[in-house]
Amino acid sequence: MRLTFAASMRDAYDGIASAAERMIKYQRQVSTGIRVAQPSDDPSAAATTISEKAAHASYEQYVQAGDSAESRLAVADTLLSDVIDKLAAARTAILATQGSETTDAQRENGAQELASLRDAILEDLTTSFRGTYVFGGAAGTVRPYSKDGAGVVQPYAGSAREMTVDIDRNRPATVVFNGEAIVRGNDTTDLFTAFEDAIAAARSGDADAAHTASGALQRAFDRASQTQSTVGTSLRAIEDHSLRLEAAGRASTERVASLEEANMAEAISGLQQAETAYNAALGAAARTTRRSLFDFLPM
Amino acid sequence: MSGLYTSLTMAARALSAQQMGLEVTGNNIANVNTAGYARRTIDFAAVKPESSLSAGNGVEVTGIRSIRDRLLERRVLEEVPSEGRAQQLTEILQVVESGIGATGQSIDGRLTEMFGSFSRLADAPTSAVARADVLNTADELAQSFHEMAGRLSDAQRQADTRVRSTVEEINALAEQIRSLNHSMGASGPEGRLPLQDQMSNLLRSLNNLVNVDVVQRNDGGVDITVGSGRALVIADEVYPLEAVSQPPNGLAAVMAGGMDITSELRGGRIVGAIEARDVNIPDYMTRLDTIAYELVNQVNAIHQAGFDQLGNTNQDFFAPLASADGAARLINVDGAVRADSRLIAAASVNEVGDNGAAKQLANLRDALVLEGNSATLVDSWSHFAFRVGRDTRAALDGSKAQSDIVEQIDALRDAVSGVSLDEEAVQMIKFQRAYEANARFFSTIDQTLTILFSIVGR
Repeated sequence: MRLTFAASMRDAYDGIASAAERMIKYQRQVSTGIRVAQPSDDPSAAATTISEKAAHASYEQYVQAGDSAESRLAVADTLLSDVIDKLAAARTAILATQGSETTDAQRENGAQELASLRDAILEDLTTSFRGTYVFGGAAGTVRPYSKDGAGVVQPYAGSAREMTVDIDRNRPATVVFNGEAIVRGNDTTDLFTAFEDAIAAARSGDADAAHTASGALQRAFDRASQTQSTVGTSLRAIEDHSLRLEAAGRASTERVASLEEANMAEAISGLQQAETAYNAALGAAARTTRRSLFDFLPM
Repeated sequence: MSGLYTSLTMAARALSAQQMGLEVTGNNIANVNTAGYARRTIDFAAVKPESSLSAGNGVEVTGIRSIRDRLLERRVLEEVPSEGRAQQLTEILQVVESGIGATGQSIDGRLTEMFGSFSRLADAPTSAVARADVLNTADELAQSFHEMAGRLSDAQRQADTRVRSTVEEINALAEQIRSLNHSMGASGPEGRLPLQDQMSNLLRSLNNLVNVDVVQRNDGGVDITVGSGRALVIADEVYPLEAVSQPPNGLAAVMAGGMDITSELRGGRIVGAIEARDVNIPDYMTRLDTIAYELVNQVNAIHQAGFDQLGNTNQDFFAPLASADGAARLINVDGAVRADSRLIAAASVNEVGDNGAAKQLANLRDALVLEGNSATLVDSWSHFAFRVGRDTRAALDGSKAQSDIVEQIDALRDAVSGVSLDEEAVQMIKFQRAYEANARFFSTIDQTLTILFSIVGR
């Protein structure tokens, strides 16, 4: 085969261009740490990376929702503990006002203590967190309980619908509660009416009325405890899901890294090889084009 | 038996022949870098002796030929259109690909952010900040769709510009070929060699732009047809192509003699541009529009069923779209909602603290709503990116493969027609030495005649 000037020059250039292209590819990988800079570098990896990043964002979103729910539930847990403690104290106070040896002053003190406990429970049940009443249900910004001018607590003004947030896919957690379910439950009258009855019974020394009121407080105590148990279950679930989501997020990050990021050892080794090839191509081109028969002809 | 004067004439003719050999060599060396040049070779023949007792009459030049392999030249012309098509397609698709953006920072990232804002709204449905966040992320998403649609539209328009400019280039080449045809017809066979080189070059350039059929004429010129036998150059006549804007989008159709021949073109850069403009980019636009349209419909369906903070229901979140056509360009947050974030329907019942609709909107992130209910919105975007990446990769690989094929044929053609400097150096020495020897012979005959003349003169 005849070797022509144009062919040898073209071959020399092709060799240089090909080696330079390979060198730049590895150079880019080493300097950016990214293997798939654009979809055509690896279309399948690019598409999978998009899905993985979306999944990762989804995990992070659920973790954030879980964190937010956790703080709401922590508040609810504290409030419910307080309500439970006060209900227990109220029952004790009712018992203290009863008995044949109890004086009027002692009964009045007991009535005052019950009123104070009622007000404290009212305060707990009307606590708002991040602009929403914790026990107001979906009514959100509507105060669930309030007193009228005579100091009587009015019926529940909140919503029976509770508010949940998703702490994982298809895993809701209740974060805003139906106060009515704690305060009244299936009773015909609510906790605050029971307190009014208990206060009246304390003042009058009516043992039957005090017993009835005490029963109502006990049922409210049970309902609050049950709600607190639900809160505790949700808090544990959030912790479990957070751990799972964080593990899934880490796995997703690793998958993205394996798809998208350059293997630095491989990239650096490839860069060195490509650089050697580039230098060799330059050298070969220089040697190939350096001499011809014309160099040996007498001038 | 020839005389000494005959020998002198023979020597002079030989000197002239070797000098012409040197000229041919010099011409080859001069054109070592001329594209399309085929090396020349000089043909010598011994001049027929006058009688059987004659030693001969020396040498004469019978012709100068260019060394060509018609088969290889035809093969180059056959492969160049595919190379041109692949190169043009690659160039345009790379522009499209560069517009997609990095993973997680394009429409996929904006979708994720918007769903994240719905999730935050679900956590605090009465929060004005969360509502403003929803509006911002939705606006950003709409903006991303607009930009992506704009980039696709720009790429399509650029491809169309390339179609139009390629038509002009084709016509310019056709005009040059017509002119060469004319020159070839007017010149004798000996004057055609440089014209053939130019013609070979022009045909290659033309085939790079559009696949043409070439018929060799007896006078050395060519007749050229394009598409389904549409005349482009016939002898001294050019039948120029036209790029004519067509409704509804004003993209150009390639016309020959008033006929639309766009679909008849089979290869060359113009076909790469047409393919990108009429096949690839519209496909990407349709996919993008489908994602935007489905997003609008899905979000609106949930939003309409929900209740805003003022107790209203049956309200769109995005301005409704009549069809998927152009959805990516037209998607926008509903004007009333944008003006008043309280109109965002976060509740699924008429209670301000409810977050049922916001949760449903956030969960739309994982809902299989596209591609026959098999893909999420982000999945569909990833399929879009995959499609663009795959097409670009295929075009890149095709372009490289086709360039390799053309390069190999070029190497074969060069082996036959290319100039080898070493070979020309050998030729130069050969003709130089022959010239020297003939000059010495001439001198010897001259000296012999001088001796004879001196004898006669005594």
